[in-house]
Amino acid sequence: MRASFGLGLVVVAVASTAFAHKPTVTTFTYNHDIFPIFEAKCGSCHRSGGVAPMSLLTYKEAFPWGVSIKNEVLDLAMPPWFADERYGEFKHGAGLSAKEMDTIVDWCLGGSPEGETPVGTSPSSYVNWPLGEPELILMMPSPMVLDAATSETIQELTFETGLAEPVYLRALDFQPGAPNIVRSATITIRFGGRKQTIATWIPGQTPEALPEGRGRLIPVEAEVGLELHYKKTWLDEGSSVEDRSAVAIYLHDEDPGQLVETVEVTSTSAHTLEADAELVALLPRVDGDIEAVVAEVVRPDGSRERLLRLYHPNSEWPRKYWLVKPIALPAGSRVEVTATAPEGATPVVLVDLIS
Amino acid sequence: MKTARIVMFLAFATVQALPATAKPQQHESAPTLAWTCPLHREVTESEEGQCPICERSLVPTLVQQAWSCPIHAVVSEDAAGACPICQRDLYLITEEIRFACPMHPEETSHEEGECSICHMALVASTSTRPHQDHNPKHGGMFFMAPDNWHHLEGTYPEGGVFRAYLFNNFSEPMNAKDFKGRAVLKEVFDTETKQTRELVAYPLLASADGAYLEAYVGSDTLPREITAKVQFERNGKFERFDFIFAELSEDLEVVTDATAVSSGELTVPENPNGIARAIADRNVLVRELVTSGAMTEIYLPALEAKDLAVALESHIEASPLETRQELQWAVKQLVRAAWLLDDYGDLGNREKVYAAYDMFDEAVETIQSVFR
Ligand code: HEC
Ligand SMILES: [Zn+2]
Repeated sequence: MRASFGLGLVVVAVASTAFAHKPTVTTFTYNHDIFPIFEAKCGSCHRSGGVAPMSLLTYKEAFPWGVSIKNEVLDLAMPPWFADERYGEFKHGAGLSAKEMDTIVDWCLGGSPEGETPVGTSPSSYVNWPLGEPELILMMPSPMVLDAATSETIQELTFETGLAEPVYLRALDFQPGAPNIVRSATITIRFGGRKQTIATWIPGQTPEALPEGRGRLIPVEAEVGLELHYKKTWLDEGSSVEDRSAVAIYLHDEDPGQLVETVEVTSTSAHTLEADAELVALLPRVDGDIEAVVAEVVRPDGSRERLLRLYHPNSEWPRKYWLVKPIALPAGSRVEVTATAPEGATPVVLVDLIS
Repeated sequence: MKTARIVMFLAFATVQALPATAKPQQHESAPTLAWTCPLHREVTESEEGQCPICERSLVPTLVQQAWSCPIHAVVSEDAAGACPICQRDLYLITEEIRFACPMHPEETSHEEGECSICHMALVASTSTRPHQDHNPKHGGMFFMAPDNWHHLEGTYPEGGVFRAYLFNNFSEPMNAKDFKGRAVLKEVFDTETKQTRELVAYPLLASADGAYLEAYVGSDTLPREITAKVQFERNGKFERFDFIFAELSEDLEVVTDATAVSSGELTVPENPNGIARAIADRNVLVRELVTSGAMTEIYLPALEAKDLAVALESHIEASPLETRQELQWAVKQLVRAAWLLDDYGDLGNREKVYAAYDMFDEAVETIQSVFR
């Protein structure tokens, strides 16, 4: 009997029951309860060829990760969405609901059963440019090579726009060339000796256009900067990977009339509005181990409103939070930022205002 | 409480599926034939016979040894070393090998062969034997170490004597001589240096046969609070386990009864105020268990409270607009805190349990402020 399983005869595909630890039986199954959550909340990164080191879109791929999924979800580390539900309402919310969190953890600890009738486990289609064909595509002129010895790096490059006249930006989008190593991208514009971050991209992000009739002015002399954060997962360690990413630019045909401006607010420098304005989006930039960042507005009448609170934000996932309903602010309103952070770490919140 | 917990263990001995993943691995150690129970996969015997738990006839199975990570079960290596994902030490585990038809997953065998339906060759996959037994073996309190691998049971068998038994992830006893530790009776936390200073501690010494670590801890009053600090890896951190003994431990292995049935059903009140009250009731129980140090029992009322909170979620739409976001947050915080209490209670770490309980209590308070 044993002889037929001699050395090397058995090629084993490794998978296991993930050390089912807590003896709880779960009533949830992968096919019925878990797949829909993973597809909606994790699949943009955890799919084959995605930025994450493993796909979670089939039972076989997902269930050996049970312990780790439970840990990441309870740590609020995954999915990377750090906005506190109590404040503000944002588009494309990517956080887990209470029910989703509970379902996932229960399944992870309760034996991780597959369930009957596999649902269509083909990942939903990922459209090239969800906002449609861009007016302009800025392609990296040459591939960036992350060699075998490098696991992480930040690269900056500049595109000259060669504009003949000023243009009005409607939206920006980004497409990674090698989705398995591009963690995030930051798009800046530079002119008049100033560099301003206007957009960020992280995997799975839904691109967002400015509200109708609003645009961002790009002067003739401006350069577009692209900052790329490359990081390999353990799967790619030791191998060389090439990336050639692209930035998509969407433009208005003519001056839309109302312009967007971005102001920087930190805990030591608030921003006071000189004229009435509409607040459309907030882009926090953090570094280090930060417990919380809060952005608030104080109106001239002294009333205070919390716009956004990030809880344990991870700097690896810079995300712009777009308000579902832009907030109208009268002149004299003050936007403030407070942070619970170790000394030296100073979060910046970039606020998009339309006036 | 104890009986409730044991009943739950049995109800949950589940049979695990045996899938394959994309990373085929070949192992140098030859697979061997063993016998397991179709219902209790954690049973592995070297000979044919009956399941010690349910007396069913054992079925043949193929097992092999591999090195794996306690967190990352995808890892299966031929030799000891570090996990390629998280750098933790790998541990030797026994994997079960099954052969299944790629088209007809119900067609499985412990031998190579072909599918009786479509005649395709069966494909091998492995699974780890489930570990589902957190029952104390010596009448003490049973905790899991933060490495997700080691387990420790503390007992207070006679006045002034503390013992710690060590187990691996499959509840198999480990040799106490391979571990170092001390029993701490008194310590202070210095808020300025953020350091804990031990004032009274006794060494934990291995018994001659390596069955346990033991410390003489002075006087024999009851109840007794003892914190074991044990090092699992050479140069590793000393992990803490907080024990409270209300009485002397009796060295009885818990006898499991295979006919025991599932835990009680939770009745969810119909209206949100009723649910909120039921949550508050659970909070009282959780607080009592947290303060009395009954770590391994906290999860019962805590998980019930989070089930109630999840049921409350469907009522949020009907609550006043200005309270909805707050409630949404509170329900999620309660769910998260309850699972953390479950986790940390298992680890027997009082500091972590207290922190999770603060979150839990804050969430309950918020819910109370809306539904009274
Ligand atoms: C925006 C992209 C993104 C989304 C969305 C996302 N993840 Fe991840 N996840 C990652 C990346 C990238 C890593 C690898 C982390 C690293 O290498 O630093 C990762 C790692 C993980 C890990 C492995 C940690 C380990 O090493 O053990 C788990 C588990 C995980 N994610 C679970 C989830 C779950 C569950 C969801 C959905 C609820 C989710 N993730 C959503 C990008 C994402
Ligand atoms: Zn690991």
